[in-house]
Amino acid sequence: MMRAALRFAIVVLAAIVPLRYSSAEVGDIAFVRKAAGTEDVPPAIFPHFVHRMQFKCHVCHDAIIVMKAGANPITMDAIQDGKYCGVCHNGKTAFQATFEACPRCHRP
Amino acid sequence: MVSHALLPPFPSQAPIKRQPCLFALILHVAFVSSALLLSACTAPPQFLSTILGPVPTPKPVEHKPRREPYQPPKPAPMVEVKEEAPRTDWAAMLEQLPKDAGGGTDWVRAMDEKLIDPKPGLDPKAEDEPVFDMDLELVPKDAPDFKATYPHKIHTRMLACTNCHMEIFQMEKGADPITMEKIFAGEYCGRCHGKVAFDVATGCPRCHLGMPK
Ligand code: HEC
Ligand code: HEC
Ligand code: HEC
Ligand code: HEC
Ligand code: HEC
Ligand code: HEC
Repeated sequence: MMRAALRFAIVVLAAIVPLRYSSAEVGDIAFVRKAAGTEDVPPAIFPHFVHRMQFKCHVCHDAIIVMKAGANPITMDAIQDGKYCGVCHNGKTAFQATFEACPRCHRP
Repeated sequence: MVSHALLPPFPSQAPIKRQPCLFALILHVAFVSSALLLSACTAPPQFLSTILGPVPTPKPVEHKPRREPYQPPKPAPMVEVKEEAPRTDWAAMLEQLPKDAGGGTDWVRAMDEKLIDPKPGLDPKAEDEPVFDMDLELVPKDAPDFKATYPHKIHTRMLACTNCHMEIFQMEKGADPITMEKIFAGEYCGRCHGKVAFDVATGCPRCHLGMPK
């Protein structure tokens, strides 16, 4: 039920929120989801450029995130637990994974 | 002719004895005093006060209003709605940064010109490790013209030694069999270049300083 509501919210929000990035920038990482069952949530996109303007590479690599695409088992549960993206995306360093924020990472 | 005989006999002109009438006196006094009183009552108070002394000026009687006086309703208190902090337009900020020959962002110049200042840690007080200034000339045995220059300085101002050593590169010049083929396939320098750092296909002269720009 909760999941369904979340998915609905994402679909609606994704339709409202205009595309902020018209083209993919070099260094954008589109995550590939291995677990099935959540196809209606578009995969998350990690824009390197946003982060490297603010942090040196070694802040994330390899203390928080291994420097290899697909090498990090990132899930929403882990993010809410304060791991991976959740180290910063906790409402303090950067925006939290709240309802309005879903499409900022999960861009269609 | 009218006969006087029919008329009663005219009373005789006996002298009338006038006696003071007590009733008339009382009536007179009453009339005069009531006239005086009336004029005293209708005349301004100063008149009577000349005889009777000063009249106390009446204090205005203050009535409490029968109901609370009308008050316009208080304006509804302003509720402070926390506004979402204005979003940083990162894409627009990226546009401000200098571009390299291939059209991508020139991050080296962006850092040189202090257009960006990436933090060395989550803690605002975090200290950065010193930059390691050592240029390495990597000369291919079969094609010495295509000598590549690897600058430690540019890399170590944002990367830690452990990001490259020893997983990607040995800490010994010439120890790794680096070729362009492997770089394009995403090994060695290609682990970053072409993915996060500047593109290999358009960046030949940035590594091969001798190549025409
Ligand atoms: C900070 C960025 C970020 C935000 C904000 C965010 N996510 Fe995610 N999410 C990720 C990443 C990274 C993954 C892992 C890669 C993937 O599966 O797309 C992920 C995975 C998922 C998955 C599939 C894997 C799993 O954990 O089940 C779902 C479903 C999901 N997110 C839903 C949401 C919803 C709903 C929201 C809004 C409440 C949201 N996400 C907000 C980054 C984010
Ligand atoms: C905010 C954290 C963060 C910062 C800062 C950061 N990265 Fe990353 N990096 C990531 C994430 C997340 C991934 C994707 C990992 C995954 O797919 O599991 C990644 C992946 C990579 C990859 C692998 C790409 C691939 O296709 O295999 C490379 C290379 C990389 N980063 C280099 C860098 C460099 C160089 C810098 C500094 C200029 C940097 N990163 C800064 C988070 C960061
Ligand atoms: C080192 C801290 C850090 C980590 C780790 C991190 N982020 Fe961020 N991220 C930030 C900061 C700071 C911002 C800028 C927030 C803002 O715009 O207000 C940001 C912005 C973003 C944005 C841009 C949103 C926009 O408005 O364009 C996306 C997307 C994003 N992060 C996704 C991720 C994902 C996905 C991960 C995990 C793979 C991640 N981030 C991990 C610090 C981090
Ligand atoms: C990221 C840096 C980098 C870029 C960009 C780059 N090269 Fe190289 N190149 C190297 C390195 C490192 C070597 C190997 C040096 C050695 O043998 O130790 C090399 C070797 C070569 C060689 C020698 C033969 C071989 O395959 O090893 C040729 C030819 C060459 N590069 C041409 C090019 C051309 C043409 C471009 C542009 C399309 C280019 N390179 C872009 C780093 C780079
Ligand atoms: C971006 C990747 C990268 C980083 C980060 C890096 N290095 Fe290196 N380092 C290299 C490469 C490439 C070589 C040459 C290896 C080869 O030729 O096989 C090298 C070689 C060396 C050598 C051998 C030089 C010689 O003359 O034989 C030393 C010493 C060294 N690095 C020290 C460091 C130290 C200390 C740091 C951290 C401050 C560091 N490196 C960070 C890529 C890196
Ligand atoms: C860990 C990731 C990583 C590896 C591995 C790596 N680089 Fe880089 N390199 C970067 C980043 C990040 C920059 C900054 C420029 C950018 O992002 O476009 C950079 C910049 C450079 C520059 C500076 C260009 C200029 O305009 O001054 C040179 C030259 C260079 N790299 C050569 C190499 C060579 C040669 C190798 C392989 C021996 C290599 N790099 C391996 C991440 C890496």
